[in-house]
Amino acid sequence: MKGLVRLARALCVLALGVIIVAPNLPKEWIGDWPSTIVSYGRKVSFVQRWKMYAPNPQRAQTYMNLTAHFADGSTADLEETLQERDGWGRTFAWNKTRVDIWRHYANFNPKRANDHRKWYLRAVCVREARRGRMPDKIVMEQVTRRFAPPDKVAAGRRGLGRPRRRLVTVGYCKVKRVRDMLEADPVLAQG
Amino acid sequence: MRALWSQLDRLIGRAMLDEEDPTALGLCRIVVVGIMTASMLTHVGAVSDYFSSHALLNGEAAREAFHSRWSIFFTFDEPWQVRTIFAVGVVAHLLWLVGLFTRVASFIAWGVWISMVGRQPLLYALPDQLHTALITVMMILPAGRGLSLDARWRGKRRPVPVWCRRLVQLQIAVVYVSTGALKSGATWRDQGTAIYYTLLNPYNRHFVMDSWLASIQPWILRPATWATVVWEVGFGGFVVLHWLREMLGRPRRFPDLRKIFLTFGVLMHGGIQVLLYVEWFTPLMIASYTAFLTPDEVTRVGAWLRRRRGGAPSEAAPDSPDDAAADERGAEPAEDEPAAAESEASDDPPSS
Repeated sequence: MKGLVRLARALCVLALGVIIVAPNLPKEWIGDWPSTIVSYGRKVSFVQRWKMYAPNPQRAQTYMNLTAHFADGSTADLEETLQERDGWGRTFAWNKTRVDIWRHYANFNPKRANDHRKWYLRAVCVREARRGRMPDKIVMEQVTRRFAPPDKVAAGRRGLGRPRRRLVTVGYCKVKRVRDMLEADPVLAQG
Repeated sequence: MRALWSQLDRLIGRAMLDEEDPTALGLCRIVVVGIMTASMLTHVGAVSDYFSSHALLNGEAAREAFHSRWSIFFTFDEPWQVRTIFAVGVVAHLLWLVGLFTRVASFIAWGVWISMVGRQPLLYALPDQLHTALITVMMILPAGRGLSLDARWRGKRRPVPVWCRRLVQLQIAVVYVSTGALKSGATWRDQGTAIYYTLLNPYNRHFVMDSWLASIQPWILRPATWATVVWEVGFGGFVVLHWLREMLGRPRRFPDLRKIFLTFGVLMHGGIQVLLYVEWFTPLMIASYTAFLTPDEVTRVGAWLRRRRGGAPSEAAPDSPDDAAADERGAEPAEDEPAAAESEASDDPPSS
């Protein structure tokens, strides 16, 4: 009996090891069963995918550039645009907030649908409404600067290339989904 | 059959279930949870803005956006409720850090942290993913049995199984091997320019030094890039060899590679920390290296620190398998530590 208890304890320890290791093994090796572990782990934000600077680190930096368009025809650069203009030097922890991480995610896959971007733009509608001036729409552009290869920089070129701007999407603040968010927003309800 | 079962039992014991002094796991708890507590505290002042009904994404919209996650803040989302739960989480972290009511404190600390991440996962990046992985692993372990107030005040000091530290070691190895194996691009493999490009990124660089980086690329950054990939992928082999070495009683044919691998890691992460903004990744990683210290080593460091402070060792430290292994090798204690070595005898059970 004691031996069986030891065996059971050992199996539990092995199971913990499998939970950590299996999500990182190639599907070609072991099939798709770790996806069950992954989905349960995701529920409690326990994720075992470690794709850091892989397969390559970034070779360009992209910032979002947001312009609010109002009903009277006027426009205004939002804080994201101002951040982009100052964002090409250096960064320290005290210059960052966690919202910068969200902005980073919202920049992914500019040519495809991106839920992170969709929710970010809706949140910007709420933010601007709270600040007292509700835009009709928010135009999102991206400004990208490529990093020059080391041999070119050694030959005298600048490390960051020319800024390239492109339209990514337009977020509308008067669609039903955003109106629902605004109506349910407790901060706006407080006035 | 009986002999086979006996051998299997011995293998299971050496690999997982044999017991060791809880001091090393206790130190690992203190250091790792200390970093986690600091990371928690950086949320102070923004908790309501991030997790309550006053967040930009709140109520039904937040639940819809993050439907795959669990968070207590989906249920309790009034700003005062969120601040209270966060404060409970901070207190739980502090209790876990000092090892008082460790089991309950660790579970509450874990619950509050995953609630924060689950409520708004887009505010969190890979360093926070490491935090979540380590907090989950540490929460499972009986890390309050040594170097804790539970041990000192509540009589909870007991040995811990050897698998506990090995699980933390496994987690570290998985992070490194996985990311190393995925670094298959030309910048890592062919060109060796990955570190150069990383240090050029204005999103998180601390210094603008493009020309200098380009000038040292062939001589320093390229070899460092390749060395990093080799080291990351090799870390898995190091951990397996380390486990075999410990299971076999540290024979001479298995060299102790910890100094080489962990020193490289400390230098690499230290360099990253100086040159880049990477949140809490470096402190967490280096803190988790304490899982590679044996109970004997931790005890010696503790005795050395006490002597540096001018006090005598205050409590007898337990015997550990390291002493036995050192005796088998005929190893001498460090020259400046004879008193400590003598004081380490106790009647705690040996580990194997």
